[in-house]
Amino acid sequence: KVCDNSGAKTVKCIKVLGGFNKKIAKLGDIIVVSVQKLRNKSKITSKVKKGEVYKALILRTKKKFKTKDGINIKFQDNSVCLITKQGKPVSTRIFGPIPKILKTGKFTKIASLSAGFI
Amino acid sequence: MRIEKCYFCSSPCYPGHGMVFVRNDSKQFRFCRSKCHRNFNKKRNPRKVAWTKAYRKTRGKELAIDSTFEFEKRRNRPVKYDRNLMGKTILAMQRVQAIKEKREERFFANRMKDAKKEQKAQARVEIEKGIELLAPAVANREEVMRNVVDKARERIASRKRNAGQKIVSGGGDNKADGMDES
Repeated sequence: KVCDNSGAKTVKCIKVLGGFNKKIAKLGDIIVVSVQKLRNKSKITSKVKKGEVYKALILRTKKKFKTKDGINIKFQDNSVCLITKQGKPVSTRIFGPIPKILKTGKFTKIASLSAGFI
Repeated sequence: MRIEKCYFCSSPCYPGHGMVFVRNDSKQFRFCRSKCHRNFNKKRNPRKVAWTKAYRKTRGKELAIDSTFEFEKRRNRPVKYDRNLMGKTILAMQRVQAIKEKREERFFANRMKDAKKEQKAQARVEIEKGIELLAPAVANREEVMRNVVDKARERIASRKRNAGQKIVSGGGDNKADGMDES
C-alpha cells in the first residue's frame, strides 16, 4: 500500500535492495516497486502511472519491529512511500504515523512530510 | 524511559516487555504481554473481562475516583532540572503512594464489612445441607470429648491419691511416683 499523495494506491515489490541475497525487506528498507493500482480520484492528476517502476521506502509493517529502547512496534498495515532514484520523495504528503527511526539520516526529507511520529 | 500502562489490563509495561500496536489513526495500544495482546485481537472489551483493572474499577471493586490519582497524570510541559525539586518530588511520590495504599485498604475493608456475617450464614446453610455427613463425626467428637474428660478426671484423682500418700509417708519418692502416674 502507498500512503502518500503521489497517486498510486498499491504497489508491488520487485526487488529488495541492499545485498546480493537479501530476501526480506524490513521497516526502513528501500525496495524497488512497480505501480499496480492508482487512486480513483487522481487518475488524471497523479504524478505516477500504472506500471512505472519506482523505488520505495517501507514506512509501516504489520510485522513487529524492535526499537533500540526495547519496544516492539507493530502497525496496522504494510505501507510504503514512493521515492525517485535519487532518494527524493515523489509526493508532497504522507498519511498516517511513521516510526521515529526514520527521522534521522537519509530520510529526513521524507520524515518531514509526515503527520505524526510513533 | 517511561513506564506505560497496558491498554488491556492496566499493569505497567516495563522496557523490553510487551508490544505496541499502532493504528493508522496514530493511536497507540500498549500491551504488557501477549495475553493482553491476544485478548485485544479477539476484540474483547477490557471493561468486561474480569481480571482487568478496568473491569474492577467499573464494577466498584477497587478505588476508582480519588484525589491521589490526580498526581499520576501526564504533564506535557518539560520542567528544567532542579535538584531540590527532584528530591521533593521523589519524597512526595513515596508519600502519595503510601496514602493511596491506605485508602485502597480502607476501601477493601469497607467492601468486605459484611463478609463475615455472610460467611457464617453460608456455613450454616452448608451444615444444614450436609448434616448426615456430619452425624458420625459429631458422635465421634462426643466420644473423644468423653475420653478426654474421663482421663482428666483420672489424673486429678491420682494426684489426690498421691497427695494423700505424701502426707502419710512424706518425701521425694512419692513426688517421683506422682510424676510417673501423671
